[in-house]
Amino acid sequence: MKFIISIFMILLSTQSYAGELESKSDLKAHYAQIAQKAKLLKSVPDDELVGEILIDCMKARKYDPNIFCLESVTEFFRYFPQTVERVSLKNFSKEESDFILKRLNVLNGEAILGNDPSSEP
Amino acid sequence: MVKVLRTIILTLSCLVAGGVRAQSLMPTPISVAPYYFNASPMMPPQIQQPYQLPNYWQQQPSLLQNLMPAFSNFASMLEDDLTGNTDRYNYGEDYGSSRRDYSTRSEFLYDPERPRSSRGSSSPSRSGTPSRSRSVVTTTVRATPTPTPTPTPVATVSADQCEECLENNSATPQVLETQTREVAQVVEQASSSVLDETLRAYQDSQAVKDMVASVRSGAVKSRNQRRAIIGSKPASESLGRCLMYVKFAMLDGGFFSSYPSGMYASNFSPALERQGFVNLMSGNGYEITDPKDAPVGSVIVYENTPGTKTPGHIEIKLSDTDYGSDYIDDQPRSETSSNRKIIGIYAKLPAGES
Repeated sequence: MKFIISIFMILLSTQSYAGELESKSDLKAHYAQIAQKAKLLKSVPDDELVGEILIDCMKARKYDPNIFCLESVTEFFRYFPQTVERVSLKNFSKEESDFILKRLNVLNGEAILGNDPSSEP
Repeated sequence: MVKVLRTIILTLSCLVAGGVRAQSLMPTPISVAPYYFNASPMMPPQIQQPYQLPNYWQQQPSLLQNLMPAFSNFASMLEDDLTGNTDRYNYGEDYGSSRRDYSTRSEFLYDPERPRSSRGSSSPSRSGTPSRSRSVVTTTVRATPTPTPTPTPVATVSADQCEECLENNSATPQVLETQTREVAQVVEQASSSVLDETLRAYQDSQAVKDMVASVRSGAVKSRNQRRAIIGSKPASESLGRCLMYVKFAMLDGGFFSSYPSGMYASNFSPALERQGFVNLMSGNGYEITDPKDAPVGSVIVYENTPGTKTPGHIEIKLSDTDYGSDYIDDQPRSETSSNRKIIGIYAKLPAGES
């Protein structure tokens, strides 16, 4: 019985660490998981889910200083900026929260104005 | 006594009534029972008496009917074997009923002991009497498959075969096949080396060097929406204005004479093609789909993946480990974003190569 329980524990521990970001090569898969999770925001826009996504994104900061995974939350941020701000302040420090909001503003501006706003017709 | 009689009469009447009711249900076949359960109680299905099965069920042959042709074939084969009637093998009903002669001529059958005449040497059958060559010998074709004739080693090689064949004393097709393969490999290597030289010429050109240097110096400048420099920034920080910075770099490299138009990076491919850039992802003899395989100075264009509303991206390969636009990263954007898909890897080939 103990043997079976220990095997289960090992399996559960490997499963829980499967989504961890260990190198930069894991970045794309990590972002894809975040994007899948962010799709749920359209049906379940709760603070907890937004917080989970932001935490997952911040895990990638050491490999991607621009945390492009925030692209998944950009549309949500466009409609609910105060929610994102409240959740980021709740989960992160003021400095980190400001960084997240700054990145979201950049990505939102890119989405609205394009990659070269100076060429706007 | 009266009570006993009344009880008996009542019991009998109940039995008779039940029997009548059960009898009224008897003509209904079991197969239509589901109709009773599934149909609406207001509109019971009309049952035709006598009940007939649908045509599909009637068309199903029985198992014996399915196996009957196989049984008859097996029986006929067994009969032939037992009776020794092996003059001709019957290829089934269709063949047996036709008028064609399906017996196989002996000269088409493989016989390892029969002497084989080479093409070059004059065979006695050709030089001899023609009536002998026309003689047809019918032999038995067994049910077992006919063995495939294997090419026997030819001792003498005819004069029209190549020298290598004469030296190796081997069959001509094999030698020619290897020679063709070698020629194809040489041609492929030559063409790939020519293509590599073309790409190397592009990445070593002064225009590309100027463009790469402009990206490196421009990535630390912070520009506002009106292209004005308003300060400095870390080279790794993205401003979301990749196309603006790439345009400046291409202007410095001399690929454009004036600042090109276009708001979105994903729509910049036609402007590049107008300046003579070719997409290395497909066509022009190239199939470079990975930015890591692209030459330095390649302009990599991304579009949004379906379902995302963010704009595309554009960047320039600065070296084997650097990719830059308004920020510089050691990986292409396709590796750091799940929402961007590469649609073009552009390079300007020398005149006459595109």
